[in-house]
Amino acid sequence: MLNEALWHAYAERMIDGAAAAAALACFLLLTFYFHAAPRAAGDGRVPTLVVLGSGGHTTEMLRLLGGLDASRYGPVTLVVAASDTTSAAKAAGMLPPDLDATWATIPRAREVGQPFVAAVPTTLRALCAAAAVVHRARPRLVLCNGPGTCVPVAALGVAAGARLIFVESWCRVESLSLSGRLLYPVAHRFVVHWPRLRDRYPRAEYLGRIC
Amino acid sequence: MAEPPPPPGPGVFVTVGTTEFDALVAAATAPPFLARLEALGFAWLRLQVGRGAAPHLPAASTVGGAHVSWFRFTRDLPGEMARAHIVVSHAGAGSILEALELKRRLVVVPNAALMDDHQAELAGALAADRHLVAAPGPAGLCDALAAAASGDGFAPLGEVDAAAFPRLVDDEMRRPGRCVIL
Repeated sequence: MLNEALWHAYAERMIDGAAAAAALACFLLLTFYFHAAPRAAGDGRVPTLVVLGSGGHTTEMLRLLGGLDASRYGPVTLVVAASDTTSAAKAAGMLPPDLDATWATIPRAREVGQPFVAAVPTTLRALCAAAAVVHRARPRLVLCNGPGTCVPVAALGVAAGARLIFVESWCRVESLSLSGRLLYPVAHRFVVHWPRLRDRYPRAEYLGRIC
Repeated sequence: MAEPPPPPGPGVFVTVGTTEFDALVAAATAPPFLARLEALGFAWLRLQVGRGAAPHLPAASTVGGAHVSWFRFTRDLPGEMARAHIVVSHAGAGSILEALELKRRLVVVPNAALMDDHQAELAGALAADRHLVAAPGPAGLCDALAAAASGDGFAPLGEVDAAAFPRLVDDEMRRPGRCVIL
């Protein structure tokens, strides 16, 4: 009985450890792969990856995109979660008309309420999909503003040599979102909407009202 | 879909967004609130109740001196907000921003059932800057409405600096490369 419980705990740790090691190995492999692979010659524009999330996040991100110079940033790949059709529909209607936009979908790592163990294969699937999106887009710039789906795409984008600009959500006044906390150390620029957050996080930048 | 528009005159619009917030709908259709509404001189009350329980009222009726109507969802939330003198909203960032951009007097009621503390945080921060009135919960709705109706100290949101973010992105992309990982 005791032995069985011990074995169970041990097996769980092994699985966690193996998953972490596999993730790290993937990350390093991708880093070397992307840095070794020659970049497409391109037309001098900045290939950009934008991660859209649920309702509020999407609106804020689209407002931010509206100000970018479409002749400098493109093609712009908009990434949405596969089950999130509202974001895609909303975004399609609000995109700046001159933006050279393409779409990509990735499955969610974990639907709300899904048990943790059942999330292992779905997480792997989501990671692979994110890697495929990054590989296809070859971004030099990744923009994201906080939905959970943005973390794997943003991390892989950084591994692939892109600059990551993270914009925290307007509703975060006192503390960072989970995505924000995870990406704060790797983001090249980190933008917040409230002075209090800038005071707490030295790398965060406050630009006044931007959306 | 939405009921026909309310009669002319000053009115109050209540919105719970895409989720449900039965406690707010109940408080906004309770006799004390309707009495206060009438006393403050409002001609109509209109509610967007989302997925929650239906209010114990017909879809359109006259209670006391005020015309009361409700519906579940609308494609034209900005239009509904623009018609109202005062907007009462859940604490969702999207609804708050929408109402403030329409320069409505706004009462925000955080939904304690959501356990989403940072929503109350946003409402509190905006209330501290006098952009809106934050009610502590549905129980404080009457007082919050009175404060919003009498308040002339509402501060509009600052203008959006649309050039600031593109400037930051351009600046970042002009910087020489550096390796953050290895």
